[in-house]
Amino acid sequence: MLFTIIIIIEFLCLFTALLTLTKAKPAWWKSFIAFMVFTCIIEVIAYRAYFVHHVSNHGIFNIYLPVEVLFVSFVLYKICQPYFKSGPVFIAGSVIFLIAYFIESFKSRFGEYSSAANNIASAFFIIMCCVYYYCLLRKEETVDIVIHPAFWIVSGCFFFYFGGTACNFFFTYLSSLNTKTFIPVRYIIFIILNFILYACWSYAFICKYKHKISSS
Amino acid sequence: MQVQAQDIVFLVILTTCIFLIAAFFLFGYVVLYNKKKRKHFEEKEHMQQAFNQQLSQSRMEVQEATMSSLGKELHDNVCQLLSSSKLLIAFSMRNLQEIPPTLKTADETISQAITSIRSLSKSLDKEWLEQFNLIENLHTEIDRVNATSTARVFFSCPENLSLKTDQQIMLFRIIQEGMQNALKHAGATDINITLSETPEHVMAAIADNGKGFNHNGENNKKGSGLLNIRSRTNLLGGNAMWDSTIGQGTSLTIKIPSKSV
Repeated sequence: MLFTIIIIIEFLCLFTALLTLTKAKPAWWKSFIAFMVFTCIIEVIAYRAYFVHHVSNHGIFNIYLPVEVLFVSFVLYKICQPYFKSGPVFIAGSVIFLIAYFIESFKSRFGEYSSAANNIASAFFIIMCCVYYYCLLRKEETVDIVIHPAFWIVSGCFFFYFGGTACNFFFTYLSSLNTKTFIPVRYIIFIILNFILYACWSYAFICKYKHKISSS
Repeated sequence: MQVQAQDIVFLVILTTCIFLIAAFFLFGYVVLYNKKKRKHFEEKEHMQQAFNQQLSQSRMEVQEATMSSLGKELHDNVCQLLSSSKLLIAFSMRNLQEIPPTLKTADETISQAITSIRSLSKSLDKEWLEQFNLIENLHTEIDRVNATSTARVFFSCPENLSLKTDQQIMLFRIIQEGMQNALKHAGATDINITLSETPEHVMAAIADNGKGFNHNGENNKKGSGLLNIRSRTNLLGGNAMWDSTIGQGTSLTIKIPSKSV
């Protein structure tokens, strides 16, 4: 049931992306559609693996993790690009994450979720979101952030990764707790975080769509 | 184990809540700071606009004063010199039995020059302008242009316009500038000036059959005539629009909101 809520939230975000971003410019905004499609597919596969075939879905999410991290890195890089030379920072962050990911994944033979690599990526994203906020406030020109799509994308990421810090930190313990005692605390927290993330992103897509209409 | 598990769960929930609250605080701070920054920026822009308007107003006042003093100088000095010359010519003509045609032509030319200078000094004199309304002044100006140049100026207007004196002068100068542009730079032979008024706007249109110009040309952007028209119109809270095609003439439309009037 809890798992289904996350899938519904993700499908709603995908639906919004399909409605609003098909003709978005610059073209990198369209990559959200591909990412959301991939996310929904992974989520459905993970759901079936766990609830239908009764096998652990950690391996599936471990495959999803680098895609998610590289995509978010790419998006943040594109958003931060007008403010500072963000390329080397994001390349360095992605390389550190990939090294940690492969070390951890090889250790578990890709059967377990690479939580340490996820923690590294989360910390990196939180820092980059704060840097973006700082640059936004320092900027000479002002933007109406209430309708600024990039701001909502970054805010969604910031809430998701900052809010998920405790869960990520206690990931191994909470996973075993869920298996042993069926206390789905991690799922509940991630439903809330996913809701915030995808609500912010959906709103950003709508802002982007409205901006396109008003400027055309 | 159960107690420890609950403690950990409680700790995770509490930490997540604290982190989320902290995230919301940072988010709120960014939104509020940006809002304040926008407000400050708007105030700064508003002050800059007010300053620019004041500066333009002062510039226009200085310009009016200069034009007025130039008009007086033309009337009191140049015109008097020409009148003296005319008197001397008349005196010479009286003493001559047969008046040479060149002297007659010179006498007529000086008469024309005196009339033109008087008319020009009137149009430059602010005190004189304040005594009449815009339409009367425009009629005088158009008569002067029609009498002295090869171009024909056609004028249509309502019976009167509800404009304040200083705004009438400003609009008069704009039309004068537009007319001079058509005569001097466009080489127009026909100029149509139309004044109209609606409850929302006062509009002035100057259309000519001159050589036209390129809107995007660098010289046109910097040309003092066009800049003067634009800054004067801005001072009245309106806008000036040019529609021009090379070889097909130019049409200038001045639109001033009634509320500023």
